[in-house]
Amino acid sequence: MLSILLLLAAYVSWDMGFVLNVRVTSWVERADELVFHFVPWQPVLAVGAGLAAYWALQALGRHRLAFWLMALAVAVPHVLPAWSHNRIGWHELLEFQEGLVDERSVYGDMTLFVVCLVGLVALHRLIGIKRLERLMRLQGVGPLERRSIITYENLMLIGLIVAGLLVAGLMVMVAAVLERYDGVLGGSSLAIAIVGGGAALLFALTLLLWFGGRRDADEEGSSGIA
Amino acid sequence: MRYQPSQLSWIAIALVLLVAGLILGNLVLLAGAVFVLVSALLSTAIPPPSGIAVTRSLAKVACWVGDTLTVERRLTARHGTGAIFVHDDLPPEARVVSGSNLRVVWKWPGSKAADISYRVQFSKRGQYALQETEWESRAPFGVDQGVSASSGPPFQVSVVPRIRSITRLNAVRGVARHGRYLGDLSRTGAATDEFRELRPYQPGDPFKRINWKASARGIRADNLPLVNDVEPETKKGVWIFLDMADYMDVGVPLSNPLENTVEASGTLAQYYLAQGSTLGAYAYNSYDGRGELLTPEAGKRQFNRLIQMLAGLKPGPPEEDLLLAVERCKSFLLRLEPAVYVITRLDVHYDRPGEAPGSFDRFKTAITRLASLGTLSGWNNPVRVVHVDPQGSPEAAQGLGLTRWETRLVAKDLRDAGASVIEWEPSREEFTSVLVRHVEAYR
Repeated sequence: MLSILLLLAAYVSWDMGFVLNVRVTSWVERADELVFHFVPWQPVLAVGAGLAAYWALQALGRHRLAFWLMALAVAVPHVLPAWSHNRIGWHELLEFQEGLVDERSVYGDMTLFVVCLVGLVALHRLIGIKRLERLMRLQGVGPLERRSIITYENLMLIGLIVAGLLVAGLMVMVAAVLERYDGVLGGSSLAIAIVGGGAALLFALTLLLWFGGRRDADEEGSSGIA
Repeated sequence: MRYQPSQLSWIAIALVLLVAGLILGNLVLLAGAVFVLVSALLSTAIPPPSGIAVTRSLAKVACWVGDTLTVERRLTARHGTGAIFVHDDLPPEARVVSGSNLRVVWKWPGSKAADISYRVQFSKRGQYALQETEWESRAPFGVDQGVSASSGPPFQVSVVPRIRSITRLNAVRGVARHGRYLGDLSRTGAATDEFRELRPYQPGDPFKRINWKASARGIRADNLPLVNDVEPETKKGVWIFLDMADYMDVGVPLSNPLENTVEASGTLAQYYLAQGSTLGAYAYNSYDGRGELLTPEAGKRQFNRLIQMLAGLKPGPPEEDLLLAVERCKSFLLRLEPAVYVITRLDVHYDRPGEAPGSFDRFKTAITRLASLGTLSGWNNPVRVVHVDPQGSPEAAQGLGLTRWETRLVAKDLRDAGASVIEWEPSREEFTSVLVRHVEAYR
C-alpha cells in the first residue's frame, strides 16, 4: 500500500516536472542513459528510499512517527498540482508570485489527490488491524476467530472508503448539476461553495460527535463504570 | 468513547484541507477534505459495543483432580458495533481442554447473544478462585481505546484428590478370613452419635432410637417402626504419615509422587473408614514447615476432613523428617495403637556418597520406634512403608535404574528393621491393585 502511494507521489512529481520544465540533474541523466535506459528508475528509487525510511523508523519503534512522516512524504508532491487550481488569486493580490499553471485538468488532479488520501486512510487502518491481529495472536485467540474479526474489520474499512468516495463524488456531482459541467472542471465559485459548504457541515457534525463521545466517556468514568 | 490521538489528527488534517480549500478557492483540496471528513465522521459515529453482560455458571464447584469442569458463559450486548474480548483469568494449575477462556466476538448493529463456554481441567488439588469474567469492547477501525469491565460471579473451586474405588479390595475374602486387615477393624463397641441409616426395628434396640416421624411417613408391611442406626465406635486405629517434601513433587502434575501419595492415603482412608476404623494422619514436610495433623476420629465425616486436608497440602522443603513427625504424633500413637502407614519415596533416603549422612539413619530410627509401639501394645501392627516410584521424573530417567537399586537397598534395611515395604509404581498399576496383592501375599 505504501509502495503504491509512494509511486503515485513520484508520478505526480515527475508529471509536475514537465509542466514546470524542471530539469533533472546531470548525474541523474547520465545514470538514466547508462543503466536504466528503459526503466523509470526515479520512481523506483523514490519508492525504495521511502520504504527503507519507513521500515527503519518501524524498527526503531517509532510507529506513529513513521506513518505520519510517510503521509507527509506522499502528500507533499500533490501540493503543486493542487496549488495550480486555486480560483482565488492571493498570489496576484499579494504580488509575491505568479500563478503556477492553469492548463491542468482539475478532474485528474482531484482524482490523484483523493486516491492518495484514500490510500493513507486505508494504510492507517490496515496498520491498526495488523496491530489488533498481533495482539489477538499474543493473547492466544484461536486462528478462526482471529480471521473472522480481521475479515469484519476489513469489510468495515472497505465500507468506510466506499462511503467516503461516494459522498465526495456526490458533492461534485451535485455541483455539476447546479453548474455547467465545464464549470465544475474549472472549479467555479458555485462548485466551491457547494463542496466547501458540505465539507464545513461534515466538519461540524464530526466535532459534535467527537465531543459528545468524549463527554459520555467522562460521565461513565466519573460514575465508576470502567 | 475515549478516542485514540490519531483520530484527532485525521480531524485536524480535514480542517487544514477545508480551510485551505476555502481560502484558496481550491476544489481539489475541498474534495480531499470531504473524503477525510466522511471517513472521520463515520468512524467517530460508530459506537463500540455497549450494554454488555456476561453471565457465568459452573455445573459444580467441587471436582476430582483431573476432572473437567464446564464453565458456561453467555455474552449479551445490546448496542454498538465492534469486537468484544471476553477473558477468564485462570490459575496456572487449570488447563483449558476445549474451547477457550479468551474469546473474541464480533457484534454488528442490533442485539447479540453468544454462548462462549469452555472446559477446564485442574491438574492439582487445592482451592482455586475463578475471578469475575473480564470483557473489553473495541470500536471498529481502532479509533477508541476500548471499554473494559468485569461481570459474572467469582467462584471458589475445590479440587479434591482422586480416590480410586476400593471395590476390588473389599472383594478379597481372604482379608477377612485371615484377619490381616479386617482383624484390625472392629465394628463392635459403644455407639457414636453419627447417623448411618434408617432400618427396621430389631429386638434389643433402645426405644429412644425409634424415628417416629419416619415411621409414620412410611408404613411397612411388617408394621415395624424405623430406628436411627448410628456408626459404632471402633477400637482399632490407623495412622498415615504422608511425606510432602518437594522431592515428591517431580514429574507431570497429574501423576507425580506427591499426587500419588495423596491418592494412596485417600484410598487407605476410604477403605479403613468404611470398615469403621479410627483414622489419624500427619503430613510432614509441608510447605509451611509445621506439618498438617488430622486428629484421629472415625466415620464418614473423618473422610471428608481428610479430603479437605489433602486438598490444601502443598510441598515444602524437607526440613521435618519422619522421626520428628513421630515425636509430634507420639501421644496419639500411644493412645490409638494404630496400624501405621508411611507413604514416601525410599530412594531419597539413601545416603549417597558426598551428601550429608544421617538421613536414612533417622528414617530407620523412626520406623523402629513405630514398630516398637506396635509390639508394646500387643496388637502386632506392622509398620507399612509405601514407596511411591517416581516414574517419568527426569532424575529417574537419567539414573538408568540407579533409583530402583537405591530403593531396593533402603527397602531391605527397612524390612530388617521390622517394617513391611509396599512398592508402588503408579504408572503401571493402581494403588488398590497393590493393596490387593499385598493382602494376598499374607494368605
